[in-house]
Amino acid sequence: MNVDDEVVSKDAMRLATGAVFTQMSAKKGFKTVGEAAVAAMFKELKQLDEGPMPGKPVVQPVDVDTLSQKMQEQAMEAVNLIKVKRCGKVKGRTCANGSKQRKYLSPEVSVASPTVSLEDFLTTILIDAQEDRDVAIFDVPGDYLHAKFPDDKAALMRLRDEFVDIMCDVNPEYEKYVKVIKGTKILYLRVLRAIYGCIESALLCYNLFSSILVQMGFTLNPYDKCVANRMVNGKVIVWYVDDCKVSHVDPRVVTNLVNELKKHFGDLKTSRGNTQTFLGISFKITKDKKLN
Amino acid sequence: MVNQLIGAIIAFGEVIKNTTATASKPYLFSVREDTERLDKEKSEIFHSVVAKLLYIMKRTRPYLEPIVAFLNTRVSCSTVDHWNKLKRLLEFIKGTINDKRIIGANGLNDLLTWVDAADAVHPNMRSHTSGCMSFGLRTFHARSSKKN
Repeated sequence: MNVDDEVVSKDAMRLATGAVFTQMSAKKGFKTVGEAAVAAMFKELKQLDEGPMPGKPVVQPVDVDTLSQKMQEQAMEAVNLIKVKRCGKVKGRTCANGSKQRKYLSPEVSVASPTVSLEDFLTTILIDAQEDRDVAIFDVPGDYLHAKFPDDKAALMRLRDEFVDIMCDVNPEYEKYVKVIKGTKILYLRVLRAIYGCIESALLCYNLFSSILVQMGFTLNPYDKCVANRMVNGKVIVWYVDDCKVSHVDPRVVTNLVNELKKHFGDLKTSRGNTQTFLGISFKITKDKKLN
Repeated sequence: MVNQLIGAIIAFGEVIKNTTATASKPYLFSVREDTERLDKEKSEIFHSVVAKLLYIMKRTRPYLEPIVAFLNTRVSCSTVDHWNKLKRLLEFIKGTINDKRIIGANGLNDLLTWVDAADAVHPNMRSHTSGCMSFGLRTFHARSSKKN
């Protein structure tokens, strides 16, 4: 090893573990991890069927006979992945292969989504430290899945073979929509919400989140669209896709805001206090108002 | 960010035995055109390590910005000289691996900005511009780049 042994022995182990236990295709996961991978995919497809909150399904089965040849060609292939985390937990992930969508996108349509800049994040956290604010960091689970696809932008996704079987186990209603084409089981799904992988998902998610904040009385910063401010004696929220930071001098105001957002996004994973991790950066606000 | 720094040192491939007091020599920006080019494998490693340092530098090591910014302009034509410059940078990082970035403010009403330019320090008479911003205690934003 080429750096201090004490540091490396611990951290090199983490790096090695990260390299060995990494993401793989679901088919490979079925072979290497076995039943746990099937259970993880079942859970993931169940989330798509049920949605992030009751009454918000992400996909809906479609009868292949009602689809034109062009619609079938434009349907996105589902990408199913398995990840074995460092703690040993097996996680399934289903997303759409949105690369096909770019071909059918008009040149004037922009799907770029804004995100908070590092400078703005550091500036706001510096203000929090200086004004001795209470800081809360929270994560919105299944963030994208809350955003609804516009009706005129209906997207289709295609599931194949064993994933069709798992989907039918999740919800037997899907069985009547399954077709066998050239010996392959195929199920077409209409994507109702911004699923991971679609190129406009990030923008839809941003639009939803920012519109909710505006409804709640926040004003978006004109220089950084992911920084919003509301004057309850001065409150700032900063967000990066599904990670958000909110701060206020009065902890009760922060709690109220988090509770308000819970009404829209369900349960939020919140952490409070002076030592936090946001976007992979660990920071500590010290008593002498410095950021460490 | 210690993990990422160790990751960059390991990705470099060569053993980093020493530590240095400075991250670069005064002739950092000088480019000798007659130096041997790196082979494909080493060139890819060079590119990868510089990209890793670019990510880390923006978050926790702003004082490395001029060096990383310069090395970043050489990823498509890296030479043995650049490899040695990168090695020296990693030696410096090894010696300061547990350093933490601290930022603070003396007040939020005074935002201090410094900008400086050095003319003709790069090949083809190109200049280098740097700047940083502070609320009075260390810098919270720094930028260093070669002018086109």
